[in-house]
Amino acid sequence: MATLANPLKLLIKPLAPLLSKLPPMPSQPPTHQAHRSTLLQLSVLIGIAVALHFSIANALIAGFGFAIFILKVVIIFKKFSPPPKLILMILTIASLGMVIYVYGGWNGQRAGISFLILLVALKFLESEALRDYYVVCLLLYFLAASSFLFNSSIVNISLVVAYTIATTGILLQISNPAKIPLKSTLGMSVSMVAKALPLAILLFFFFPRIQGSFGFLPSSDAGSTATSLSDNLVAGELASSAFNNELAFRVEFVNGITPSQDQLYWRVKTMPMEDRFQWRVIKPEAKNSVSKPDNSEDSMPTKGEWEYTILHEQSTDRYLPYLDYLKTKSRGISLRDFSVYTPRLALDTFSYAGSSTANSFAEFSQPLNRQELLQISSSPNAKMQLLLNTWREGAGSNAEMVERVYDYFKSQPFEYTLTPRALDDLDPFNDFMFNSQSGYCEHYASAFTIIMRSLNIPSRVVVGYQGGSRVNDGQFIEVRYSDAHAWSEVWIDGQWRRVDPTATISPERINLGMEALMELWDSGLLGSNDTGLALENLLNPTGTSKWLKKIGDSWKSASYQWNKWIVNYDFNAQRQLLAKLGMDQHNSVAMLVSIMSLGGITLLLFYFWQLVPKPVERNPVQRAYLKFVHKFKRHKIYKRPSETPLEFSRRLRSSFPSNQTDIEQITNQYYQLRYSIDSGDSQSDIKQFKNVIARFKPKKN
Amino acid sequence: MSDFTIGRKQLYILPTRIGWYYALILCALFGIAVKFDNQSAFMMLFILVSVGLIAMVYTHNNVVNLQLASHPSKSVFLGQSALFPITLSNQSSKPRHAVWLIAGGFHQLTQLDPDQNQTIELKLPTVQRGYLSCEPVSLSSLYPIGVFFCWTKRFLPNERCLVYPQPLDLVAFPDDGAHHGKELKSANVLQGAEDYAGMKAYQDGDRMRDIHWPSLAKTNKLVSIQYENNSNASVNLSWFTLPSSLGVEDRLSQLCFWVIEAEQNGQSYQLEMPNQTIEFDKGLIHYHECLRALALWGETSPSAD
Repeated sequence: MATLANPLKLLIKPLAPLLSKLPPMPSQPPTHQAHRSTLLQLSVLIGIAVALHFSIANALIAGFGFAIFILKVVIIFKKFSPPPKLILMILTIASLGMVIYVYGGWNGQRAGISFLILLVALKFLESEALRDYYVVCLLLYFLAASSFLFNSSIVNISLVVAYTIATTGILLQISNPAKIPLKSTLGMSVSMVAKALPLAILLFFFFPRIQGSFGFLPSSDAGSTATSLSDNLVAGELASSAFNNELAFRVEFVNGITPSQDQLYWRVKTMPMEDRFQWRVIKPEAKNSVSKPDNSEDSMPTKGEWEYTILHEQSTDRYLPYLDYLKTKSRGISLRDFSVYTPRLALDTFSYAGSSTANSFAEFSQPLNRQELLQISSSPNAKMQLLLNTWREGAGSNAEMVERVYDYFKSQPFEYTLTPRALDDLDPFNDFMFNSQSGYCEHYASAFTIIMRSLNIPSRVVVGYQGGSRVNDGQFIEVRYSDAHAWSEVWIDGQWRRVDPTATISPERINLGMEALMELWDSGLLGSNDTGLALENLLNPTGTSKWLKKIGDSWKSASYQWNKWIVNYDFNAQRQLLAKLGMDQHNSVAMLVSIMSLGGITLLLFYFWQLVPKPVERNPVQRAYLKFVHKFKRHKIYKRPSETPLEFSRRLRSSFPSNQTDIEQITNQYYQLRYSIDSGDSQSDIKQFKNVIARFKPKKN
Repeated sequence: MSDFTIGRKQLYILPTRIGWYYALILCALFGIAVKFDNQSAFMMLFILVSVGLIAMVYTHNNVVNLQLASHPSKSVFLGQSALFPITLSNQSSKPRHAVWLIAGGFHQLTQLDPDQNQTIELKLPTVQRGYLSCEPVSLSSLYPIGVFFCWTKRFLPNERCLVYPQPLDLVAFPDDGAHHGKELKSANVLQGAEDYAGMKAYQDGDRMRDIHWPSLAKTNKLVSIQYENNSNASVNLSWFTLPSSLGVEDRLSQLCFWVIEAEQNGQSYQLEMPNQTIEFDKGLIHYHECLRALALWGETSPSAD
């Protein structure tokens, strides 16, 4: 009783003069016991929460929670009294210890949610009075909401809303001493949550987002499940990501101008450092990669022809993908190699905009670090030297040499495979060029770049994504980790040029995209004679597969919109919304607050008005008669609800002798108008009846 | 009879303790949403905020526009509960759930369908004889989810209940001059020789044994058998014959007991009090007149109407 009363009293104290104006509160009604059916429903909800916890966190903790839960269910069924305080204390200490043991402390989302779930289970076990069950329900609300820290998908929020409806239903049953059937409970809670949704949406879009942090809350787990492209390119590693179907990002092109599939090179990072067929990035913090201020390249950045917004899934990668060749961007810092670096990692999905152009451009003003871009550790063997000499001989320009190497890859029996064999540890480059001759994009990019450097042409490996699958007739593009790709960039005539040797080996990869390639790979048709036919089926699906594709597309589209509007609705998105509504963005907080409160109050008033109980519809005769009854109020005479008009008139006649005839007439007429079948010219009769009543004046003698 | 409509201005609403806990949970959720910049958590937070606000609307509308009306209350003996009938009427097209009718320490939960009336008897304890005024009545509701609590202004029904003294049998029934008749009557009862005088509709106060049960079975109406007046069965119930050791309240209780006894026996009786005497008579009117005189003994106007 007194546990939380004191702080609350302190809180209420300043309000005391205001509260004292209120009429005294009536004495508290006696509390009741929760019904057993309600408790069983509640235990089902808690059971679901604990069971789902298995998928989020440690099995040990989930198992412990489940055991507590089972214990409580047994108690409910057998009508035992709750366990003694000592046992509860031991269980609480045990669960605390378990969380610390498993997670090594308090901090972190997983530790937090694990502790929360144990708390719910323990509170449920301990619960006896009604108030305890209230607290359990409130904790369930909180638990449902915190599941978003792990999954913000459209499926999850639907589940959470359903869970909220169910919890509200339990609260409804708990707070009503009478038993209400499950069906009407559900109806009530669905209608409550449905009425809450418009208000919630309004608040969601206009509640000012602030950027701050509360230090006392658990911080996010380090090294969470989010994936990223590695900062090292090891031959064979990128190939294994071909089977990682996880979504990397989605792109929506603004004006409907989309590049063709073979132009979709999503540049993420460059790798200039070579070491035995392996490449790695130069960390921007390290030595000479000076980050270039945004507007140093040209004072007025012009947008490229392709404008797009990217909705990136959560990632631990500090480099952001942009379409090659980048013109403008809204997020991150441009590095000297044109890759874009973000110092602050997003904790969730994030979005940004960019524009790009098809034409390459020169690296401005800065001197090229030739030494870095020509360094190689893999030395060509004698056979390779011979080849290099033939390419050098008689070549008019660097461009011609590039052309010759490119043609060489085309003419030789190089093979494109998703499962390349391991290369010789000591001399992987030559082993690949002359023995293996089969590999994934990173092999070709590596080999090509090493050859370029051997020919004294500055070059580097670029890692990013290529292609992506178009959803809903190209409304947006989904790029997955399986689309990861590596290619080369060479410095020709004072410009960086993109050269993708994979395009010569496997044109399907570039022209049709990874998705198509994987389909072929799965059906074992890659490279066989039937490739053409299989591709035909894949690109123009018929019958069921067409429908399946359509359903899949609309689902992808829904979840894209969901992510775009809800999951990524941050500070910037809110300002954009204001701008779209034609509001002043500078005064945004005041603006948002006023829109929010105005809209919220309007909506609430609407609900008040709409839900206020309206009087039952009465017909005109009844209304006129009620007017007649009300005329006696002044004389303190009321018609009892149980009294018939005839009985009432008898009672009246004794106290109002002078009105006797009028009373008799009105009562008779009322009976006639209301109950007789042949009320002939009823409209005029009703009018006359009303007139009689209007003229009537009760007079006490 | 008076009535009272609960308008918007008669209704007050505040969060309950659970409501404050709910707010606390929402604050914590707000912290999490900001900390992790998690928009879905924000969405959930706003859904819960809205559910709370909607609950407030529901709580308010569950009680607004209800009507209360009071009815006259029947007299009772001290120690019995005084009953004040209150009619709660819902003249709207919406059902009302879980409304508490509260008066003093009395609580009654009700539920009203659209356009339905319900009469509830307020049960109030009686602690002394005389008039007992009805306690102020208010309604309250926690519906739907118990985060808000609304209550109404107090409605003071203009009703009072006359509480008769508690009947106590301390002294033997007076037999002065009536002893004979009483003996005779008892003998008659024993022999079943009381003079039959006819039948009449049952009236409050008729003896249970006088009810003619066969007619109840036939006509579904209570009928009591009337017996011939036993003229010599009359008794004077006098304040002055009581032993002086009895206090005022005990005297009144004793007289009350005798009045009941005499009426039950069908005797004619007279109540003799220091300030007034109620002449020999019998029947319900006389009976209640006597009891009222006892109940109001010592009030400023003993002959109060």
